Amino acid sequence: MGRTWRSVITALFLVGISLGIFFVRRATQGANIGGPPGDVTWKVTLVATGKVGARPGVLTMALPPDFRHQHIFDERFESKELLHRMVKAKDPARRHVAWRKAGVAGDAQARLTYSFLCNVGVRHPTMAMLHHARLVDATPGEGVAIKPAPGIESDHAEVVHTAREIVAEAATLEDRIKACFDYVAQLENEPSVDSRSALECLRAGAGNPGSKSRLLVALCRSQNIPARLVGGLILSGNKEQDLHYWAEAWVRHRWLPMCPTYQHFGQREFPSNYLVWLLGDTELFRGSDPPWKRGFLVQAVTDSGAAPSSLADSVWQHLSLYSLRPAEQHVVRFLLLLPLAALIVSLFRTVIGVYTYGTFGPALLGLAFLDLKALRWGLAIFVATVLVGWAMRHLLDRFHLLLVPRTAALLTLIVGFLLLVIVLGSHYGISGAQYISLFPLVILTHMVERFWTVEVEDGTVASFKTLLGTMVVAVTVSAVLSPPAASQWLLHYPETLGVVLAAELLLGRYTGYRLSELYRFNEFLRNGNART
Amino acid sequence: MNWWTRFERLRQLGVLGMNCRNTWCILDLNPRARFPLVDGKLQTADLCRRIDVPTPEIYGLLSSHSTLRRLPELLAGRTDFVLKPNHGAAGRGVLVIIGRDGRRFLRHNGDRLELDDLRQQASEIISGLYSLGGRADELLIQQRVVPDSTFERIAFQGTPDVRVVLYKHVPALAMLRLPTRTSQGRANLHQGAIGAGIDMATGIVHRAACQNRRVDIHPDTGNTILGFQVPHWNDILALARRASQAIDMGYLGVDIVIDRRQGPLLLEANARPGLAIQIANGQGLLQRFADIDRQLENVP
Repeated sequence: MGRTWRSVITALFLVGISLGIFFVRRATQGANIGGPPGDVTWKVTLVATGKVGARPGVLTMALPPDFRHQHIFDERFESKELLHRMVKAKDPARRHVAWRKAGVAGDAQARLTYSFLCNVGVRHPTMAMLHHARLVDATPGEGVAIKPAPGIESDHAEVVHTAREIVAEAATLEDRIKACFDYVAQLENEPSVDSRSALECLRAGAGNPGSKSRLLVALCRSQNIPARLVGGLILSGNKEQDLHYWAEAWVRHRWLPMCPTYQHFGQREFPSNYLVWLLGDTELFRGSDPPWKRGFLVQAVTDSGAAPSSLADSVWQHLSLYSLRPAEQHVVRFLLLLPLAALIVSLFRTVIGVYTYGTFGPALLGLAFLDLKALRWGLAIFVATVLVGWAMRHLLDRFHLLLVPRTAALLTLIVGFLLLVIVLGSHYGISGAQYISLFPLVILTHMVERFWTVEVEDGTVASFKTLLGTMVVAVTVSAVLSPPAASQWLLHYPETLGVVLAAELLLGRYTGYRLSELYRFNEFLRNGNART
Repeated sequence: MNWWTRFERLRQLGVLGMNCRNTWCILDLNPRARFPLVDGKLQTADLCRRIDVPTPEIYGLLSSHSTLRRLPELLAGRTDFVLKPNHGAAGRGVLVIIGRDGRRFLRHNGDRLELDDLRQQASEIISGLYSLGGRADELLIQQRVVPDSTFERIAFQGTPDVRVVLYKHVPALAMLRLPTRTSQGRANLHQGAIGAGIDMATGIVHRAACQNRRVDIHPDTGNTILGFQVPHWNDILALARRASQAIDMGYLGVDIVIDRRQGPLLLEANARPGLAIQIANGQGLLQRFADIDRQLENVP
């Protein structure tokens, strides 16, 4: 009994600590603090609709960089029709997400929602933010940000001529940029209905923010000053917005921001509520044809105050998972789900008595299909692979191979099968094959081996029962953990892990019958005790 | 019957469940340090020799793939023997050879095997395919036990054995495990062997179960199992007690085979004996544990 009590007391202690942290954080507003302190925390929501064609079938969306004095956190991606995947780029500051169709549906209308929280005007950027800023704001390479580009006709005679006229009296580099800026700034402002090129803007003497910024960039470039277009949002009020454009010019080893529309020039007087989203003349969406309709909504969430007002605030800020850079937040979110998945597996095994292949194999399998849209395909491929692998295992058995080379051979055969699925899937336009990349292949091979062993030892029925058990657990894991609320909660209140640990401790001393045993000992219940 | 009534009824009957066995019995009563004594058959055999408990003879031990070439040499002149993994469980990977047919080996189920087949099995055993946890293992070549002639009526191929579960070194329940066609000659209940509950006082089979269901006759031989007197019953109990005290685990299963010539031999011990013995006896282990605790309290 002593050990049981020890577990119970430790569990209670853990629950107490977790609840304690939870309530203290709530009481001291620590729970509301996300990331390093900025002026205000904003919530930005992007909704877009359009069609994803059969080819290339991928829609790439640029994400706002986590750099300089802007911190992005708590990103969420939702879509009924599409699956999202983070694109690993060499340059961590240029972040992208790829959206793909889920399933085989034709080029039907799709809708996606992307939302995130952000702090702008962060006084003490994290190391990661500084690092990204250094990468993005590095000295432009030879010929970069200087050549003419579509919509930026910096080599056109009219542009070159105008630029010369404007800067005629300017002495220094700053004066020349200021002269260009002043010229563009005094042009008539227009709302963004269509997008005009720099040249068109120059000829019309008016333009929307995009056109005016392009003209400014073209003028600078024609003067051999590196300049680039910046796209983003102006965070203010609670309202709908569209992308705003401004420009940056390279002067004295840094990028000088300037907004010809609202007439902000230079770092010092540039407002801190400009959120940078796109750098250079990149599109928000790539691979969308025809272009997607989109809308942005900006909301002020909390006034997180200027500097941390108390010691507690500063401690919470340092501990908050929201201070991490977005890519790390995605990893942390997945990591936080693992213990919960393991708890679900423990529940199934000790309380219900479901047998599975491997202890945490089903948990990983379930997590691989967190996206419920992927689950259907994933499960089909999983079952097909196990069965095909099992048939291959039977073939291999005739060769009498040693254990390790045999497992390696099995892995090779399974990979061969998956390749075939991908090739056929791609040939017939079935996008289900993309889920294969999510598969923990080693776990799969191990499961095939276990399937075979169980079949040989305990019969085919037992091996299929175990397969079914594995699937039930995997599906439950993915169903329970797929709502964004689950990972949201854990990211917000990581102290919940204490409660999870407590539950695991209690489960570890659970001595009651398993649900399956209530039926296993049927003979007892029918006949009672033979001796009494 | 709803879940709660089932739960309560099982508790009243003192049935030991899997979770309870794993926590109270194995984790709390069986010190981890003593597991090597029972997890390895070789270690168990060594222990038996030390405490003078009869056990089947071990002809040889191969511990690596490179020593596999010694296999023919070790088997030379042996007509019957058993190949088994040193760290195996649940009868996995056991190969029983009962005779020779020219160059070929005769299995207990009538199959004829080449030396290459034996080598393959040996190699799988050494690779750890059948060991607990899949670690690299060793191959044991062991004396084949020829079951006592009284078993012929009620055992189908294979070797029947007696499983005694001891609690604090006192025999709590015992059963006779009879191989069937389904179990392919293995005396393992979850593979379809029959578990026949033995009356502790007399050594007479009083009840039997197969695949968690009650049976009275052996499905393959057609003979009744009930009323069978296990030979050498008192020797078996004494042997189990001695082994339990030497191994020093609070919850132990001891498997004893009865050889035609040598009588009871300790085949192996098990630190995680299964729960089907309760169904075979129609009696819950927890109830027996309570009886034994009371008994032990009364003896100063």
